[in-house]
Amino acid sequence: MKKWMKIIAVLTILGVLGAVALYVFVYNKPHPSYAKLEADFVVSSSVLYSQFKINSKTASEKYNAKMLQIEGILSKIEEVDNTSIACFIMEEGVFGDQGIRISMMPEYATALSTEMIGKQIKIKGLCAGYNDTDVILEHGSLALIY
Amino acid sequence: MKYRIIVIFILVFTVAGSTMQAQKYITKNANIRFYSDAPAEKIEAINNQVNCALDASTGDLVFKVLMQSFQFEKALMQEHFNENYVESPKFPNATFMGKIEGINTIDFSKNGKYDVVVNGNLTMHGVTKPISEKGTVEVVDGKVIANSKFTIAIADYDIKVPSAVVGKISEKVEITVNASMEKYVK
Repeated sequence: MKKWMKIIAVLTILGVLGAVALYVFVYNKPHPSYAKLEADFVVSSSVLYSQFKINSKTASEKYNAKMLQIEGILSKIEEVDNTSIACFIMEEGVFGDQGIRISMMPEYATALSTEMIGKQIKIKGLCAGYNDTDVILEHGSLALIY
Repeated sequence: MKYRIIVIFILVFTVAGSTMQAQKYITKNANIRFYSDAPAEKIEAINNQVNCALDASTGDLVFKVLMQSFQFEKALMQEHFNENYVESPKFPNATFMGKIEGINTIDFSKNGKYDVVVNGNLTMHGVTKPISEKGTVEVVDGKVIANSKFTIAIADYDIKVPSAVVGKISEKVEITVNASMEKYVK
């Protein structure tokens, strides 16, 4: 085999291996470390809820899929299928309590205790949107308790 | 469409509720799982922050789902699902509004399990289609647990599979619904 043919063969193999490695890396890339992501918006729970309630389209365009840091008084904690949901209740509506509901990541769920209910806290989470009763956040992490 | 959904929500929860308040069952934590199996990859996602309401006097059943709340094992799948398939920024919600057939045959005052048929409209990706699916309704100590498993064709909802992966991704998706509802007392 001529020298240039060998070089092309080696480059081709390296190219294929590189493409496969890149595919595997991208395909299996992990979820971001949500707790370490910087908040796109810092907003109080009452302001966030009222923005969605007044104009859900505008608020959705602004906040959906963004990392939010919310500050407000924790109303209750619900346990559902091994997931803790932090709730900021804003009002009573046609669907019971309405407000902001944040699914906590497991490592932060344990840090969330009933002692925090009624206290001012800061929680970060990824905004999933508004379902006409609540603003929903996922991947919640506790930022600060006062 | 959005205002129609809101109006039906209000009707289910206020008009019926004013006379039959004890007949409303709700949850904000219904669970919806979807699963598709194809040669290229199995795709599975779970959403456990789904609103569901049942008016036991009329059989009206409503689900409201935020698409962005579906959680995938792989980050890339989640990105593709939201950005390329269901286009969550443009169509953030999916809804089901329907009715349980023969609701009067269910005795909500004592424990029991019933096979039911649910008819209604499923709206997803901005497309509304009538569906009729089998399921069960179980009354357990005052709670109502609704379960159903059915299959939808993604093409029915104008969800397009990119040409590069046609044949590698299933065009049918299995949906599993589980809603454990409690009596709503205002």
